[in-house]
Amino acid sequence: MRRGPQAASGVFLKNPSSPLNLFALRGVYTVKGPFNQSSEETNMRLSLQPAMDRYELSVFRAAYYICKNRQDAEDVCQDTFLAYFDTDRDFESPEHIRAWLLRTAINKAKNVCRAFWRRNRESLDDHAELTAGEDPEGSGLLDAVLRLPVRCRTVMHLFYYEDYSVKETAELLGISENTVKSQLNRGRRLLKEMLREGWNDDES
Amino acid sequence: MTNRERYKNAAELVKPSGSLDTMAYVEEQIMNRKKTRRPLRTLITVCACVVLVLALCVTAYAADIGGVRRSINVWLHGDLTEVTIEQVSEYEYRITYPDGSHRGTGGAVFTPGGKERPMTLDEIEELLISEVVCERGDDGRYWLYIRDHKIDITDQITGNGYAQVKVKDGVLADYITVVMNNHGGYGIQTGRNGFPSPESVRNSIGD
Repeated sequence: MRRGPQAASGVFLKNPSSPLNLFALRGVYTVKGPFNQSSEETNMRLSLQPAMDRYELSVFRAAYYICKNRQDAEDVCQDTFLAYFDTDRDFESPEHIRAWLLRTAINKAKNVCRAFWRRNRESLDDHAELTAGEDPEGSGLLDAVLRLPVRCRTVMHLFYYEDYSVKETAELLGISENTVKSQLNRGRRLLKEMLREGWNDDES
Repeated sequence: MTNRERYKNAAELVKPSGSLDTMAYVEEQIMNRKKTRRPLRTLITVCACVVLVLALCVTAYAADIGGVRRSINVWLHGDLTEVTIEQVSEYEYRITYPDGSHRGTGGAVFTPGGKERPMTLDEIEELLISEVVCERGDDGRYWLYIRDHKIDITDQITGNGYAQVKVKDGVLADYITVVMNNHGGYGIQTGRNGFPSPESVRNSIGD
């Protein structure tokens, strides 16, 4: 009988050196933790392919908002999923996986920005090319957001795009809620200055 | 439209290029690890072994394990000077002076049974400590150096081209015969009980 992706369900091989682990790469679903544990202790984990299907865009965008460069963001995205494949940690829920992926991507993107060769490189600001011919209002907002300070736009992105609350954003970034609030206020104020009618005074 | 909706619409514009294939990248990295890990580990192991062996050699050399190198104090122009002696081959030693200059020495000794063997480091050290040197100074005078003595022997050189000097700075005396050969060199012999004859000195230097 041919083994389809479903056949790999329920078995996630954590040893990356195992050739059978390609099932875990391509397999559809997830896993429960060690079978000798009680149900309260079971952990779940998405295989790589479904995790990518769900979160690749989010991870790429989070990285892009920090790197401001598509090539770097794609590299970060790939490295993030490689790290996901390599990690031995157990996840409690899909939401936990998403938060872990975003935090990892943000950290990796910051590392890329800190790299010596990148700091000494001319930025091509390729988002103009990225959004050419598309929604001009959205393009203007994107351009404005990318001009915000990096901490500010990271917080803004998690809050406005990923729908994290102030508390969740603070936990994900490892900073205080007050810092998140002040970064949000700063970002809103700067966007209002840049966009005027293109940004409301609401705080939703 | 709320700010959140505006923001999401704008973020939707950010898309990866069509060439992004994370799955292929991850699979490639996993396959590469399998191919490259072993040679890398082997290389690291070999490098670590080489470094360890070099470190041990340097330590052994510095600590003179095996007795191949020794620092001793010898008399040099009347001053006690620390020099380094190291064995460069079975019969050869190299002396390094504080200014970095080198000089070779060594030789063989004959055992009571008549067999030849290389001089040991102890014998070389003994030889250097009791070494007598004669030099001609820039002023044209001849100086004899033995231990901390510097003796002007110019006026003691006879018409036959030799000088005999007695040095006594302890219980025992050194009787020294210096013979100048026809080529500007010197032959020196010391005796404990009397002066060696000039002829035996000439014979020893083949003059």
